[in-house]
Amino acid sequence: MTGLKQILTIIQKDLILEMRSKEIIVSMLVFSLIVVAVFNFIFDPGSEQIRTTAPGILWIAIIFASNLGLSRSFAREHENAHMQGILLCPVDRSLLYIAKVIGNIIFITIVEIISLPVMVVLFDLDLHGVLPLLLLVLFLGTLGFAGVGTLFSTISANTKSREVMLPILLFPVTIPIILAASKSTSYLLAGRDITQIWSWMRILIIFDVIFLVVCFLLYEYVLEE
Amino acid sequence: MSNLTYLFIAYAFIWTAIFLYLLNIGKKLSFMQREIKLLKENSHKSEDF
Amino acid sequence: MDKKYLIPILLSYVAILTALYFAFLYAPTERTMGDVQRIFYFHVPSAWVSFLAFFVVCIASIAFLRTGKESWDILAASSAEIGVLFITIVLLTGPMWAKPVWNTFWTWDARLTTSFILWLIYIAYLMLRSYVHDKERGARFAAVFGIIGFLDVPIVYMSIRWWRTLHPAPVMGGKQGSGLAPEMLMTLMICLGAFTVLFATLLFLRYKTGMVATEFERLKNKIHS
Repeated sequence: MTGLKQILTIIQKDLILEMRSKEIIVSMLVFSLIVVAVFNFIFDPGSEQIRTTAPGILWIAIIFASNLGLSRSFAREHENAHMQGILLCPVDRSLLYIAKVIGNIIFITIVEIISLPVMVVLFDLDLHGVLPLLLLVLFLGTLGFAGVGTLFSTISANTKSREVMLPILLFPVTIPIILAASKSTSYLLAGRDITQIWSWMRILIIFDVIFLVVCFLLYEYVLEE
Repeated sequence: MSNLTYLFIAYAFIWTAIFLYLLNIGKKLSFMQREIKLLKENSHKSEDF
Repeated sequence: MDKKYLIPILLSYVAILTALYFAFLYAPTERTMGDVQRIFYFHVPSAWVSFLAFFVVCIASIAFLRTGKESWDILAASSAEIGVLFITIVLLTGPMWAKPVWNTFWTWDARLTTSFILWLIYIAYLMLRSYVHDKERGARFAAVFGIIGFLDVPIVYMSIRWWRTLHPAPVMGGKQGSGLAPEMLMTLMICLGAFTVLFATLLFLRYKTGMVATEFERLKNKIHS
């Protein structure tokens, strides 16, 4: 089997599992919508504040839902000893990381695709002409967050209180990604100059590259021997 | 004496107390290391039998 | 008592007393800030020691992953504990200095925010260490997190700086570095040296305690088997 085929097989396995139970996607989606709804009550109805803070709320909803999904997916693997099964196969361990990251990105992207239109309607956002760039920013933020999240959820799945451990490890470390992603989004939605938006997007790309490379190199150490 | 002199003396007392405590820890550590060494030697001896 | 403990303890005792003398009696009173500025001589060395400690964590973690020697893991754990102690001192003394001088306890400035996130990261590191089932694997988890945590420091600092420079910066009158009197600089250097010696002593004691604990564990297993 070639590397690409191995990656695709692992992703397929995760997707089939999820299609059967729909446990992760549904819980992530409901959770992200709840976050959006709850944040809505912080502000006075109809105030301008909501629109300026909407990008931040969007990212909070995404990272909280992602955190939930990541910890659930690895807990499930841990409970059913899937990881041991995969590790017994002749699969290169670094490919395993790539496959896991892509799988997590797919889950998070599905949640984003559904919750973004909901946010647009609820917060009356104007996406005219910025949608392609917005999707790119969403992807870049998700890439970085899922890259670190995959490594840390493998770690936290093997600790005593895994649901608590994951956000405690993940959130402080990914603050630069969250910051760059939410800044890019808010500049984009505020209709700022393209050079200003690009300056934050460039930072986001640099952070993504650094985090992905480091996590890729370190992933083999968190797997069982 | 100025206020700062009193402040200095007060802090000197605090740190003296902290370091006396550190000395105490150091003493306990050396004791434990000696004990472990003894235990190790004993366990080697018992293996020989 | 063993000389290898007596000498470093006495050495750092003399160093700390000298530092106290310089900070309280030798250094002149700052003209605008008054005596409260003397916090500086303990605040900055504490920050330096915490960075040094986290650097040691990173190096020891890399060495542990490469060699698999338990002593590197003990060194990383010891250094992280001391680092957290000193970064806590930084976060407590900082606001005590800022309130009378800047008239606010806290600003989301790059240095302050980075210290705060650093504190969160290494609290998470210590939690991770205490929450693992399997000791050998837990050590590898901690090493991976220790490396990422330290690499994250400059990234966090840069991202916060870019974020802050695009906002109106809070007014900060005469912080360190700008026109420090020679006596003040001298005092700072002595305090930095004293705190470094103190750090080395504490690290040594803590490291030896960890080594004794593992030896003890080994003996216990030997007797039980």
